[in-house]
Amino acid sequence: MTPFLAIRDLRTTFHTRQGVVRAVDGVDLDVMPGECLGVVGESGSGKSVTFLSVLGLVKPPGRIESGQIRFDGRDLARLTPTELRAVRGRDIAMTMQDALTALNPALRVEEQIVETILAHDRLPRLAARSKALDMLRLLGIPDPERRIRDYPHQFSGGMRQRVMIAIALACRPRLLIADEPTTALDVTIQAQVLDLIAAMRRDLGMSVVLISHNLGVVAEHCDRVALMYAGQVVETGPTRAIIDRPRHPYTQGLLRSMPVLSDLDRPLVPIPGQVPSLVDLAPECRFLPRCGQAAPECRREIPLLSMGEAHAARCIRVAA
Amino acid sequence: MEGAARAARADSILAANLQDFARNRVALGATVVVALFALMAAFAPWIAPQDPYASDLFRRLQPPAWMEGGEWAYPLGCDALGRDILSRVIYGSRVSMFIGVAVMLIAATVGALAGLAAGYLRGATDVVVSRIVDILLSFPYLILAIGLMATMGPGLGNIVLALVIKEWVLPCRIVRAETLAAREMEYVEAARALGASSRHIMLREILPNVLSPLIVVSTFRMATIIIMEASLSFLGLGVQPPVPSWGSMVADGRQFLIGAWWVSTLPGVMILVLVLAINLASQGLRDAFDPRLRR
Repeated sequence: MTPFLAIRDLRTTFHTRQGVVRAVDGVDLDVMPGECLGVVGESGSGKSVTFLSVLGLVKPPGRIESGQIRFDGRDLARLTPTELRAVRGRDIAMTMQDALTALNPALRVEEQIVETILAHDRLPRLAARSKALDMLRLLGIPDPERRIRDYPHQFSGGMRQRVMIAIALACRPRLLIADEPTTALDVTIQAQVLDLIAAMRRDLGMSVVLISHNLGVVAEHCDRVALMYAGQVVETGPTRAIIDRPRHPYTQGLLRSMPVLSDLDRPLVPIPGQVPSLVDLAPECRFLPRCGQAAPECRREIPLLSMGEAHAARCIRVAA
Repeated sequence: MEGAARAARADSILAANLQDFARNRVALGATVVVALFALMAAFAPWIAPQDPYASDLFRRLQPPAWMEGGEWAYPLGCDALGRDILSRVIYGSRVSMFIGVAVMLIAATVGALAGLAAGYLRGATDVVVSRIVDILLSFPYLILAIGLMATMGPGLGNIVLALVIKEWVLPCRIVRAETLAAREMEYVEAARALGASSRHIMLREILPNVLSPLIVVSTFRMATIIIMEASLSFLGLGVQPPVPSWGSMVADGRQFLIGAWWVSTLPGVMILVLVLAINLASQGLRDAFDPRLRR
């Protein structure tokens, strides 16, 4: 199957006074039609910047140095701003982390959804409004005819997240990028919102990229997972394979630091140390200072090494 | 916390602000006064007891009705040409209100658009707009207006133009500063992520969020605009005779100030009352619209 979105060797840097920050450093990612890809990493691992780059939304001083972003036979990195704007929302939509700040406080929900629809479709206003109501109904917002007249601050956190997803889905995009859709929510509401995204994916036949720092959230809802560390993909593969047979020490460390229901007495082991600064990185494994299995051979650039069934990890131990 | 609860109850932030405003007695009273002036201007022909242009030389400098030699048909007395001062004051409110409102609206619109463009697009647009603003701010207001009026010649349209040329600068600065803050907000990025155009983001996303400070600064400026018009007319550069304007009426009565104080004083009092009312009303607006002043 040919990938729907194929990112190849993407490099996005931020030129700051401290030096060049390599926020995304040679990332390869594929999203297949209709699949849900989970992208997991800590803050600053480059997961958000990767997808902001896809949409051409990286703000100065950040810029895309090199790489290809093939989507639908086109290279998004080569499109003009106007062409890229037509792709955003229409083909690929992205929801932001915090629904409270990502919704415009001065506009009614109705205006925000309708305006998004009208930005891409030539429709009478009334038709756009009924489409907006359909979207809210689909996302399980009770009494949409009344709630559509409300302002964002009048919604609860979970409802607000649904409103934001409704806006993002209003133009029926073929790819939804959900950036930390559940971070600001209670655990019970988290599950609801994630189930909702899964249902939307089935019903609308779209692909989803779920960006999260929570491997557990991603494991439950995604077909495939990519783990990012310090601007690189360190391990990627089918979710099952990664949970059962993690090969990169970072993935192993993440799994050891998470509680498992079947074995509540197992001690949780944190990963020692911290994420390295992304300025002046040495050409060696980025996880080296925190790795318990480091060897002299790790002091060189490590490529992603495949081990079959689309499972690959950026660790010398894979080849061994 | 109370403010948030109030905002949640009200339909919108703007509605909550207006409710706050309505609780302020002084500001509400001042607003009523301004509204009365507006009504007076609108219905001048029906309210004025006399024809403001009809001069009666037998009534030259006739004192107000309550003084020796006055009559109730001419309640506030007559000017040097024997014209009814009350009628002229009523007609004079048309010039003041028209110029005050017209200049305020045009300046707010131009300033808001320029401020949005400068603040959101940044780059060359911002440099050009901000330098024009700096240059205009360095000119003394009245001197610039006098110069412009001297070049363009008198007339209502020219007064509006002369005042707008400087007046748009203030809303522009406010809107630009607010836009600089708003453009970094996540909802702007969210709108961009969904394919909104720059025009859409400026007018539909950012403008509603900078409306409150724009309204406050514009109403404040309306008082200054009215004083500027009166000053120009006082200097003979504004509305031309025989059209009555408060500024020119004050000027006309200057030479009779000792013997017939009412000719200059009454239009002067009108300027004072209207400008004071506008200032008090806009003060109330600012108190209601600026969350930092919330108690």
